[in-house]
This record gives sequence, C-alpha cells and structure tokens, in this order.
Amino acid sequence: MSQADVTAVPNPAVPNPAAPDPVVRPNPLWTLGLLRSELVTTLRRWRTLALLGVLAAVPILVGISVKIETSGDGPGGRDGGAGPAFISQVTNNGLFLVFTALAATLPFFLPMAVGVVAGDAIAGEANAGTLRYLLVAPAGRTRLLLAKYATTMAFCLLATLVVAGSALAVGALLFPLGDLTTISGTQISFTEGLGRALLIALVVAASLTGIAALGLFVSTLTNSGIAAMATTVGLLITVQILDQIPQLHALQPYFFSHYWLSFADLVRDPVYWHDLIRNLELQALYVAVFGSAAWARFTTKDIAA
Amino acid sequence: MAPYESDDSTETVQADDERRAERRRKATRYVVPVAVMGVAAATIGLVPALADSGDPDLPKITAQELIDKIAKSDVQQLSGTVKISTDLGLPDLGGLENSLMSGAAQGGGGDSSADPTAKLTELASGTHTLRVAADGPEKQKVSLLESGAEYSLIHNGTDVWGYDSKSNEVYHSTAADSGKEQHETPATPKDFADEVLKSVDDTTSVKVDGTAQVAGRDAYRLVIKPKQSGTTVGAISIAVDAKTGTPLKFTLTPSSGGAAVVDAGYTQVSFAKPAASTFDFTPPKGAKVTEGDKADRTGGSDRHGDSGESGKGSGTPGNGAPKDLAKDGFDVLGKGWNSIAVLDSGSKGGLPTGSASGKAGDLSGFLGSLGDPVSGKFGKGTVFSTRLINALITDDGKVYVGAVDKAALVKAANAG
Repeated sequence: MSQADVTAVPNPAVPNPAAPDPVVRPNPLWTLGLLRSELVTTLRRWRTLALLGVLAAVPILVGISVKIETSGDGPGGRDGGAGPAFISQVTNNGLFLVFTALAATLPFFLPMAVGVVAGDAIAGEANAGTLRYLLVAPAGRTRLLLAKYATTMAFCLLATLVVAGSALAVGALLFPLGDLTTISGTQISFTEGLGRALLIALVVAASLTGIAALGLFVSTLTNSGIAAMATTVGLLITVQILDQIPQLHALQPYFFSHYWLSFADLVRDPVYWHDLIRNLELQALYVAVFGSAAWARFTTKDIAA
Repeated sequence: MAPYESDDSTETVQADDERRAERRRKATRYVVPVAVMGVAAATIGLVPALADSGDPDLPKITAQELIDKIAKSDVQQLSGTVKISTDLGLPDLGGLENSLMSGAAQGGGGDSSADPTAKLTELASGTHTLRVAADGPEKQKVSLLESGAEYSLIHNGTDVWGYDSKSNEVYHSTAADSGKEQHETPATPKDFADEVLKSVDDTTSVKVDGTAQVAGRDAYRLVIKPKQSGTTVGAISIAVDAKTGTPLKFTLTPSSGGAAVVDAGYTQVSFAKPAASTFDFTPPKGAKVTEGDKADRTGGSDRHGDSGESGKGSGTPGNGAPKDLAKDGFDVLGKGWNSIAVLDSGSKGGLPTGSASGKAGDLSGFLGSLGDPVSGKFGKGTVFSTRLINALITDDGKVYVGAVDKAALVKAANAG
C-alpha cells in the first residue's frame, strides 16, 4: 500500500532539472510508510500483545485487592504506607489507582516491556534474517534506525496509556470518583485531576525513553534478539539494585531509573518541578548518548544476515 | 570488506589502505556519542561553578545593622522550598528509630502517624526537603516532601491540621489560644537564626563576612563564632536577604571540622502572597481523623513546642537547650557556649554502663559500646558523643550535657 502512495505523490525533486541528485531521493512520506509498517509489525506480534495484557492486568489486580482489603472494616489500618505510593488514597478516589498502578509498574514491568521491544528492534530482524531486506529499500540505515526508535517510543507511550486506562476503568468501577485531594492536602477538581493523570502518563512514557535508547544500542551490538533483550533487562535490574546501595549515592543521580518515581511530584500542589526536570534532562541525555552510539554502530556495521 | 585475500600484492596493499580508511571513517562516527557525553559532563561540572562565581556586590553594612535588619524584618507573606540537612553523627538507627518513635507517640496518647510531634522529629537526622508558605499570623503551612508522599501541617485560623498522605491519616486540633505558639515551626532558617541571635552576648563574635547568593537572591553573610574554647560549635553562618532581612540560609559547622551539623536553606523563595487555597484543608473521604481533645491539645502543642525547642536546641547548643533545661529545674554550669546542663537521675549506679557488672546484661554492654569510659575525681562514667552534643553519665547517676568537648565535661564533673 505504501508503495502505491509513494508513486502517486509526485516527487518534487524529480521534475526539477537543477536537482543535484535526482535518482536516490526517497520521498519524505517514505519514512512515514516505514514507520507505519514497523508499528504494525511490532504491535501485531503475540509477544507485544501479551506484554500489554500483563500490563493491563496489574491495575485490575491492585484495584481488586485494595477493594477486598478495605471492604470490611473501614480504611487503612496502622500499616498504611506499605506498598506502592498512593495506595492508601485509592479508597478516597478511584483516580489515585492510576497513580498507584503507574508507581507499581514503573520500576519493573513497564521498562521490562520496553526493553523487550527495544532489544528486539534490530537484533530480532538480524536474527530472523530480515534486516538485509529492510536495508534493500532505499530508506537508508539512519532512517530505519529512526523508524525503529520511533516505534519503540510509541510503544512506551502505548504501554503507559494501557496501564493508565485500565487503572482508570477499574478505579471508576470499584471506587468513588470526584474532587481530588492532592498529597499536599489541597483539593483540585476532578477534571484537573484527570489532566494531571494524563500529564503523569506522558511523564512516565518519557521516563522510559532512556532505557529504550539503551535497548536499541544493545540491539545493534548483537545479532541475537534474545541476547539483546536479556542484556537490556539485565542492565535494568542491575541499575535498580545499584540505586538502592547507599554507598553509591554519588553516582545514583546519573542512573536512568533514579528519578523515575518523581512523577509523584505532579500530585503535589503546587507541583514540585525540581526532580521532574532532572528526570527529563537525564532521559534526554541517555537518548542523545545511546541514540548516537546506536547510530554510529548501525551505520557502520556489516550486515551479514 | 573483501571476503578473500587476493594473491596480487599491489591489490592487497590497495585493499589494506581502503580498509584502513574505511575503519577510520567508521571510527569517526563514534566521536558523536563521546562528544555528547563530554558536553554533558562539562555542563554538569561547569554550570554550578559558573553560577557560583559571582558573589553579589552589596553596600557595606555592619554586623549590628544587619542584626537590626533581621529584627525589624516583617515578612508576612512568603512561600518557598527549604532544604535541611542535619548530621549529628548519630548512628543511623533506621527502623529502630521509627519503632521507638511510634512507641513514644503511643505513650503520649496520639496514635496517629499524622501527629506533628513524631513527624517533625524526623528532621533531626538526614536530608529533607520542606515547603513552607505563610500569609500573616493566621495562615501557615509546612510540608515535608517524601518520596511519593507528603506530610503537611496546616494552620489556618483556629484549626491546625496534620495530614500524612502516606498513611492517609489526619490529625486535627483547634488551637484558639495556643495558635501563636503552634505556628512557630522549627525548620526554616529564620527560626534557627532567631534562636542564635537571642543569645548573642560577650562570649560571641559576630561579623559580616561578604555576600552570597541564596535561592537566586542577594544576601549578606553573618558569621557568628564562639570566643570561648572548649565548645564543639565551630561557627554559625547565616545568609540574610539584603532586601527583606529574612534569613535565607543557616549553617552550623562543628569545631572538629567536616560537614555542617545543621544546614538549612531556601532553595527557592518568593515573597508574594501564596494562593489562598494552599491553606484550605478538608479531610479527604475515608481518611482516618484523630482529634486532639482538650487535654491532649495542650499536651499536643506543648509536645510540639518541645520538639521545636529540642530541634533548636540541637542547632544552638549552649543557648537554647540548657536554658530550657534550667527552666525545668536543672542546673546549668558555665555560661555562653560552654554551658553544661546537669541532671541528677537520682539512681545510684543509675545507667548501666560498660564498666557495670555483667549482670546488667546485653543492654549495658550495648550502651557501653556506644560510649567511651572515662574516670576522674568524680569517679567513673561514660561519655556519649555526637558531632555536636556530648553527654557524660557518671556511675552515681549524674548526667552532664553540653555542646562542649569531652575534657570540658570531665572538668565540670570534677568541679561539681
């Protein structure tokens, strides 16, 4: 289908006699076509659907267990405060289930899913022997890499929205909705609460771009999809453990996962931006470093398979 | 790359050259990620240095004028973020401390994690970020930012609310009469500064030591040093906002050197009126509300005051702490920074120390291991030391506490 689109649109470079290089100039829409086919391929994989299914199940599990726990004798109890952030507020307002679910999935489930998709991006194609066919198309390696990374980022956003959407649905079914009490004790309207929930989902998705770039770089290093996924998820676990060791506190601000839970600062009133901005800067740095490293590796690599 | 070597030597040389050029071309691409990393590292290293470099140029001012400025400063509306680090050199007891704390809170009758007493004692160790907002004497708010949670203490008119979002518990008391006492929070640089300046006397040297930038505002640095020797307090430095006279940063360094014992400063501050909604609080649905009843209320406010005082006491030893103790009927030896409070616990052989017989069991061994045994004319005792406060507990049950070094404590014990 994209082939037909491409030929139907007149290429502005071709009729121009002054064009220096009229032969190899792919239409800009080619990139979109490439991206579209990448997205469709990724999202139609059973593996991807299973990952999304697991992510959607987490809020259901959390919601039902909170409901059962608190249906008997009033809220909380003395041990309130254990478990993921915000869990004790879920009974006040179902919207908090969105925050709880994201806080519960962000440390591991979400980045693991992203690591699987990112690690598979290049290495999986190489493994299946389809990478050279992709490169036969006149898209160029840089474009292919960009399309792969864009697909991974789209998956970050989709995975986050799946968690948030599932949590919102479960929260609305099991718990009351309405005006929201922020963790600072002030009240905001439900609409503003929804807006903040959306903002949080975007921030969480942005928090995953760092590990997505890291996974893509690892993926260009090897021809085995499994090895790339395992390395990425292994790196994630290692960094998460190192982030807990107090003796390493000088290094910890540079770990990609260090500021992940700062999205909770969006539920303060007024919002505490310090760590949020740090988080976004850090993710941008990881994207720049590992994105360019992936580019350097992929554009100079010998594609044997 | 050519998969097979050719036999022809000239071709091989050519191919080698090409290969080398190719490899160089490939290697240059890796310059990009390395350069990105280099730029990032340089930014991280240089930006704070560049930001620090310019101390503001302010008209000269004497120490007395600056102190007057602080006293006259009448800032009613303020909001900002305070970072407070305390490092008393106490062992990090972590969970144990918490369980002790909750035990204490239960003993006091307040069975709520939203009780201000327990929460504000947390400030005594570690680094915390606080948010403060004030709008006149009737409306104040202090929030302790935690990871994914927040503890807020809100004073609005006659109501005092404590809200702990982590456990979703609310503490409420009506503070019609004790309100003035309650709004005093021990956390802001101003509170620390007030305590110190109250007790500036002839044992203290005060001078203005240049200027500084705190939270983006120009400030004078007021340095307070004890003239006496023997105290563990090295120096206290207070950054005072040049325009409003509000203390913006308070740092207490011990005479032993090293990191500051107390370092409280604004990282961001605004003197605009905070939004009125900041001080509105309605307990969220489903939250557990603990009411401080009439008797408990005064108790609560007193306890709060105590925690404030002890917080200040630890910040301004030799002033606040011993004076308060004196109020409660204890003796104070010495004056100024070298004040030592003496308590008589009354029980002979009172606190089990390491030198006490093995009968006292593991606990005494444990306590003894935390302190150093000393002896003198007074007999035997154990010194427990932190980076700021030292305490000598003698075997006959007397306790000497002060922000002084070990030798001064022993001397005091010998004299007493």
